[in-house]
Amino acid sequence: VLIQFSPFYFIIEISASVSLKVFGAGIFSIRLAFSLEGPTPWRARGTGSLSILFFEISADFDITWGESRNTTLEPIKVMPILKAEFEKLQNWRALLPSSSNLLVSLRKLDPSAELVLHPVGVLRVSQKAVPLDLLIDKVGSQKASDAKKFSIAVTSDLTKAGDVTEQFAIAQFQSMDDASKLSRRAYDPLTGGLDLSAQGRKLRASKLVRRRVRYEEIIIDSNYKRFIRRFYRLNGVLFTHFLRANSISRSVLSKAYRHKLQPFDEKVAVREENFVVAFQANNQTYRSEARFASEAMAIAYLHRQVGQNPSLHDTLHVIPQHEVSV
Amino acid sequence: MSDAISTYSFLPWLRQGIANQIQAGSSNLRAEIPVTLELKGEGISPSPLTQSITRTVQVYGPGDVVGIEKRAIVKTEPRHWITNFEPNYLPYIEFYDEDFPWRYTPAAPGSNHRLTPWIMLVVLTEAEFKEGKNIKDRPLPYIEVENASSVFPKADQLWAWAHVHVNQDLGAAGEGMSSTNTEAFLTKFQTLLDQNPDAAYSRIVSSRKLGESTAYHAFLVPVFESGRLAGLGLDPAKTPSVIASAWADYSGREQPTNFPYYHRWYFRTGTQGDFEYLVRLLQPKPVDKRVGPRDVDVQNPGSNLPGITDAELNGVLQLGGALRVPLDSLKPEERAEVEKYENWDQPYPHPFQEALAAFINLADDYIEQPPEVANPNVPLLPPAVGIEDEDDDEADQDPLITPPLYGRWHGLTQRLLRDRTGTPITPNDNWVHELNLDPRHRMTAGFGTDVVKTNQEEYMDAAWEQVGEVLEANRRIRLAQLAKEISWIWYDRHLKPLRQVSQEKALIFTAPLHKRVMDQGFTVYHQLNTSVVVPVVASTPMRRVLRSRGRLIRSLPFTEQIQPGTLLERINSGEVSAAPPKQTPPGVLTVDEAAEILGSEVVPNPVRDWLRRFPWMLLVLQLVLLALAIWLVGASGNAFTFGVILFASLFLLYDQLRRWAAGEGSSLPIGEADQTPDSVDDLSRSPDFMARSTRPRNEVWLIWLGLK
Repeated sequence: VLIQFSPFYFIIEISASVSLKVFGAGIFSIRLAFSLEGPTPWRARGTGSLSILFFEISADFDITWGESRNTTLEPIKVMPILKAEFEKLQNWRALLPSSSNLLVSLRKLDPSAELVLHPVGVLRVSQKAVPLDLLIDKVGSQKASDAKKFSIAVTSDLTKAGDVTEQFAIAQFQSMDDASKLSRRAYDPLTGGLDLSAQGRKLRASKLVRRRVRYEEIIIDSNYKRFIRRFYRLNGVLFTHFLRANSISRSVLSKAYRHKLQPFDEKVAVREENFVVAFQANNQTYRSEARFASEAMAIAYLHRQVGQNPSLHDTLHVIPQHEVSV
Repeated sequence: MSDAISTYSFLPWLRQGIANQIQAGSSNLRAEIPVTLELKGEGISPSPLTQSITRTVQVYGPGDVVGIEKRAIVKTEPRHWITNFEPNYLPYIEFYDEDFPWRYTPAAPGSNHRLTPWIMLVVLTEAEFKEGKNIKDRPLPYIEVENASSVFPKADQLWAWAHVHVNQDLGAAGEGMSSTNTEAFLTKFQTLLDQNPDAAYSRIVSSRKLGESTAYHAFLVPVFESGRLAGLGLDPAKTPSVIASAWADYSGREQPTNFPYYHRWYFRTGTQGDFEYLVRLLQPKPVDKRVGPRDVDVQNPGSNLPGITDAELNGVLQLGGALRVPLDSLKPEERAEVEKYENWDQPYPHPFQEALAAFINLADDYIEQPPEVANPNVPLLPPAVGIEDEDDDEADQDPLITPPLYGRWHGLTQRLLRDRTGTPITPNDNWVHELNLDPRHRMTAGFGTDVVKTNQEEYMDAAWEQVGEVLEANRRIRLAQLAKEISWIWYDRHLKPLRQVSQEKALIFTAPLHKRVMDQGFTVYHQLNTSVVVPVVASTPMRRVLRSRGRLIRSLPFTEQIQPGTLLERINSGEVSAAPPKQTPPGVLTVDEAAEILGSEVVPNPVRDWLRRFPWMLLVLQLVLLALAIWLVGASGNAFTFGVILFASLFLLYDQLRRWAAGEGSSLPIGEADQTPDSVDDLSRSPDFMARSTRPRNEVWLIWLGLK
């Protein structure tokens, strides 16, 4: 059974046979094998055969009936789909800060009823219906009728902290031939929404008061008179040195403590594979910015570059980053 | 080194992040922030489509907090169970996060630099509260306070008891001791925090004046009513207003005397004795020689090792401490006493050290020798209580548990004093020997081992954290190795036999990979593309045409030499091409041939120059010939004969010159190779050649006039 959705079309191959055997010898059999194509106009093609003892009669047939009708699916407006997705409460999530430096335990809340954001957390808005920031041709099997490229931005007090990547089946959104449908990976990580946070770590306070660190110094010695020096200023280097042993530096949250456990910045890190637009001639990177997390984004970039500079046609291709030659 | 560094800065309050957006006067449980998103679609309509999406987001408030982690608190003053706290001091508590005391406050800061913290430190005597007994269904423990309004700090003054402490000068020079230039000092503060987040912390001070010799309990309690209700397990939405105080009465207040707390500790005050008081009591005195070291009994070290029983040591060694008396300030006999204990192992090695080294070396001996051979190496005392053995005459068969060799990995040392053959190791007085053979240092090393053992889980965690995602990286490397090995098998099974049969077939077979395989700095695709063999030979349609069972291939008359498998090689050698080079049909006069014919006669160079310079000479020669002909008509005899000969030779000269001159005019480069647009213009025109439209003239006119 082969089914195509737009325009709607299918082919079904049917084969059936009935035979009557006596002591293993065929006496009588009817066989029918045909393919049915549709919908209207219907077309049936095939062979029917009838055999009795040694005689066999077979006939080919090819019949078409019904009237032609347009079965192409209507183009679809994508903006309402996206708007509805972004308005769903379950697509809004208030994430707690990743460093687990929350330091308080919170009351259990019902996440489906209320959207409560932590003061140092991130608000994540993302959907999985349509990929953003990428030229799309269709949604599912329906062509997009209102726009081809969608993006989302924040206009109120919060600022964008980053893009949210979701897995999208790229063949659902871009027209491709069967070969690339098979050779490309099924899901690409593409932008689905955005993370919102307050503008950075922006601090606010209203007033500052400062005090010099001064001590009264008393020198006690058996050979001299007791010597007192008032308002002795602590040496700056000594001051910072003494601060290294204060209670905050010994706290498990402190940078000093973490640095003792993690003295090195370099460590083994595993990255997801990137895709690079490179020259077909020598597999060198086309431009330093031509590196993308998803193959679909890389291909879109390639098409854009070729559109701007037609002489690049058939000189670039998209390869995984590890194949780039340096 | 500047004085400005040793300065403390204080901020009355601090907020960061989304909490800055919290506005005053909200009547709900939590503060709210509106969020507007703009959805944009472009690509089809000329102007982009936009849609706006708005949603209100709530921010966690004090009514959502039901506990504070211990590690958030970096210090309490006094510490738990301090029983002689100075009564003239104020207890306080410090938090790591600079903005912690104001983070959940559901109000905006006031105009007079005031912002109420959401938690407060309350210090109560034992008579002022009762422990909350029933903690069922309550997220936090609680206390019962009858007259909270009199013992708790005043709710409208709480802002004064919390501040941010910064160990650096955030002000500008010449600014005075206080500043309201928020932009300047906050930028400085942010830079400081990025550099060293440990430089600032927040503090809440108790407002209670302490009495002498009194027991106190300090509690960290919620300030807002919603926080109190949440801590007691009640519905925080029942608070009369979002900023209502936890100890203000209102009608319908549930469990009015119960107050939950996030943290508590206990202390007692003394009568006197703060730091200043004690410092002023100090008197200078010479230090006694007993200050610092502790005596350690070394007569019976255990594990059947012989003790250090030297008579002059009295069975002890002196373990040094953090404090030490300067040797110069000691009397000579005191100094000799100290040095006697310091050099107890002279002459080195002491018999005890020999025995200990042999015992430690046993672990290494067992690698080569079985226990029954190795054990007698150690001069151990017989065990105090004999182990009952069935055959007493045989040596103990079991290996012994040996003491650790400290620093063996750092010092790359496996044995002490003697190596496996029994010869002394040199040097035998390096730090590894010193550490392992002196009981005093072994004790300290044992403390170190104990610290590592206590924290081993944390250290292992940190070690794993230091290497990062090494497990995942190794997994991927192994997968890559597997893929590589499988590719080799695949290559050996399928591609190598194909290569051996025909290199061409292998090349065509691997065509989809040509853009990815590098050779001498270029891809195979590029090399194929720039070679004689066009890449289309390796394309899918070509492969389809060339498949061996295809109808076309079967019907073509191949011979021994000409096979479909040798096509690539034959293209490469130029035998085969998609379009053969153009050939001139026989019998056609080409431009080059014509030019050759025209330019075939060789004109001597001086004559050519002469002809070019004086083209009128031919005319002169013509006139001379004409004159000579007229003269011949009247001549006779020898003169006539001479004249005829002269005329004939001059005519021949003239004819030759005329032909050369004609040849000179057309011998401009007309060969195809050296034709230029100028040279074509220079060619003499054919009089009957004109460019003419193939259309009838009237039609051309109609087109020009735009009528057709």
